[in-house]
Amino acid sequence: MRVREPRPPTPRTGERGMTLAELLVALTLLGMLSVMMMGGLRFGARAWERTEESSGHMNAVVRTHAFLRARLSETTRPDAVTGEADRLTFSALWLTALGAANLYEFELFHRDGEALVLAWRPMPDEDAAPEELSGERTLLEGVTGLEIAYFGQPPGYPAADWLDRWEPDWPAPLLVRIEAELAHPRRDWPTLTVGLPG
Amino acid sequence: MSRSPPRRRERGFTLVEVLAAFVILSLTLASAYAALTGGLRWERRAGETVSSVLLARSYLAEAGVARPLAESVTEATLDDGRTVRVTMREVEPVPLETRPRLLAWEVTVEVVQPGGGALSLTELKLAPP
Repeated sequence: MRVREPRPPTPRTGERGMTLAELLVALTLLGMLSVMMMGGLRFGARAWERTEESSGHMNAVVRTHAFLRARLSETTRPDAVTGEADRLTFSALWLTALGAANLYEFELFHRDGEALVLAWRPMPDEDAAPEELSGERTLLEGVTGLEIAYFGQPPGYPAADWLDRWEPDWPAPLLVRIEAELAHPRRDWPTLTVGLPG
Repeated sequence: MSRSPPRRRERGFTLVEVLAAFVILSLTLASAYAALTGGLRWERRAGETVSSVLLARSYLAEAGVARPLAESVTEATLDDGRTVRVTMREVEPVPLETRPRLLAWEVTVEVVQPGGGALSLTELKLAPP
């Protein structure tokens, strides 16, 4: 039986590991840095998410304002607007297909699930519009209250004033003002006031 | 028997080198965070500005209808800290042969945001004297 002679230790010149103390300091630093990075990452992700939500909300507000302003400012019928403090009904032209428009009746209201909802259906006296063109969609989430005011001088009133309802047989108001109360304290609904063609 | 050649000049980092690397890394991260928070702040400012434009348009719609046209400056502070100033000014009479005679009013709505930044919208309104 051959006996292997033990290998002589390889002399590694100039190669020396860290001392334990150095390693500990480096590890501690690395640990602290990773904790900071994780915290920063979480903070960044949350801030990003919040910003995205708030800009999404702002986009919805801009869309809602633009749509309501355009529809309300081009209402033509004298009986176009009726409503109460939490519900607005108005008629306006809207597309039924590309190149074809019909008079629609729009209804803006607040639903309990904290949403501002717009429903529409073709006016009953419009012969061409099929009933399946009716529908509804949520314009804005997180709405806890709606306050609509109407400015005008209904028959029998001494002067034009802000009222919290508008009867169907009154001529159209001069202004409609829509205020929304939002669930989120830092969200914003700028007052929407639209002038109607007088 | 193969023997690995002696490795020269190979040694670990010194503590000072590791520390320097950490400092550089932290500086880089700090500047990245600063850029992120700056971007978020500007995003908020942009949202506030958009909202102020919508608000100013609503005030313009009221001028001459629910608020009579008259030489005036009215200022109001809203719940959210924004200040709205409505300035109505009669424009120098233009010799227009319109019947009925019409006066031109310049209505300026100025919205000042609490976080800084202001914007103003101006509209001309025509009304009988």
